[in-house]
Amino acid sequence: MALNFSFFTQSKYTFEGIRPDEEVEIFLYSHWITVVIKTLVYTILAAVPLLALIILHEEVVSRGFFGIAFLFLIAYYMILWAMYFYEIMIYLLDTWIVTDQRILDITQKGFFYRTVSELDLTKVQDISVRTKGLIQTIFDFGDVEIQSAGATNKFMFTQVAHPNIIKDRIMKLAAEARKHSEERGM
Amino acid sequence: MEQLASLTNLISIVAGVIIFLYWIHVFVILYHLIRFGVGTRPKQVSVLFLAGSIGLFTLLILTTVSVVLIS
Repeated sequence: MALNFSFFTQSKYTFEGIRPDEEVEIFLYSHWITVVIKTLVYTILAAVPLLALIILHEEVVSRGFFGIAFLFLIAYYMILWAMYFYEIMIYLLDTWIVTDQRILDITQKGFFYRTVSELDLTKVQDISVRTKGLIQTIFDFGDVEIQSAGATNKFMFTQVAHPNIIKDRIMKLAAEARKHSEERGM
Repeated sequence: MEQLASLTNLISIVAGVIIFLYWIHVFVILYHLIRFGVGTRPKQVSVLFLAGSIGLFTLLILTTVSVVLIS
């Protein structure tokens, strides 16, 4: 029986609720630097007890506690591993999707807190980009704010890479969607 | 002697409950990544996470066995 690993590739750019005639144009996570910062924090948290065990190695061995200390270290790493991947999970599930018909803002704030907001591309009025601070300027990432006609809430893409390019692409897609909508209305 | 035995039992039960909760946590993360993840990256990350979790758990079991055998 052949193993089937096609689920790794089949789901590329498809999501729950995609329409049959819909195509994903832009798919966004927050900028990778947000993950790098978290990774650095967890690396430090992982390194500190290991360094302590290395430094105190002789004393721990002479007192006969090395096995117990190593056991606690592994248990600590298991907790860190689960916590780190929880953060990665939140990062990977907190996404923005722009299709040729609409914009989807998927927010994941915990295991059981997930919201999906939708905005029709024809309703996009104006888009503003906000890049603040040295790091955002150097790495070219920032917030993209989308104002829609009639909606009270603004759509916000937070800390996304190349915000100006995204803004231009959404404006172009919105213009095309409006054109198609008018043609269908005629 | 009897008190030591009951303490050992208590520690074993607490460790068992913690490990059970740990695997529930692992399962929920994997479920979310595979069920709600868009694109291939969440699936690849879920495989890495599962492999690491199994590896660490195996190491924990092996270390526990060696500590128990030594003592």
